[in-house]
Amino acid sequence: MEKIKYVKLDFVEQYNKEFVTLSHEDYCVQKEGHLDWVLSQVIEFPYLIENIPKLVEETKSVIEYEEVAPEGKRKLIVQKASFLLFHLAAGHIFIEANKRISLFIFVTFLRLNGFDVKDGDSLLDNLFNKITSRKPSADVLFKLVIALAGCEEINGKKENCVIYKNPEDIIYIIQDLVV
Amino acid sequence: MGIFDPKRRGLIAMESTPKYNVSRVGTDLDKQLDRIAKKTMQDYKQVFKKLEKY
Repeated sequence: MEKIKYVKLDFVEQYNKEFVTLSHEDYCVQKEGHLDWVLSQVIEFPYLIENIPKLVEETKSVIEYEEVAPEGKRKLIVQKASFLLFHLAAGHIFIEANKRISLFIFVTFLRLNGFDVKDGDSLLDNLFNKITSRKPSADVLFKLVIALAGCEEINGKKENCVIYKNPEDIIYIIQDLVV
Repeated sequence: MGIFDPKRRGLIAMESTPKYNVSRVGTDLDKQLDRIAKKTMQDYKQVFKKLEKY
């Protein structure tokens, strides 16, 4: 049995600050309760845990929680990563850098649990090719993240993208990207 | 609602955990996450440099 590791709220806030600092924007959390909700609900997703197992919380920025059989780990991690990507992108928790932090936490969560996304170009290619027949372009990645989250159009053309309404809808895309 | 609100169940699990060790820093898990986060940030700066305007 293996434990699954999750990032904590302070860690997400710390790196959102770093992103906005990089681009000289102002840091502000506008929905701290929602961030707390996302980071706690991903522990349960996609199940409702009836008997909550021991929670190891002696760390500063990461917790270990829930045990899973090795053969079922990949599927579960893909589901949980999709949940994080969707809700962090769609929730608009911070004033700035919501798309950047959602992608950053998505990749970090995968790596923390022993998985990874295919390299950046493949990530772009795969995401883009799943949604539109046009050639991939780096500029649209975060637009795509938001399109996956169901709250924005790509280049103003709704007909060229599929709008997803919940994290379950993007799992089938994400599972092809995780190695 | 309280503990019967399913949306708060995860929160309650965290809130009800003993806090006596929470401030301990520098554990192996923290260090592992720190390494991964720095690597991911490096990747972001390299691969996704063009995306910073978003």
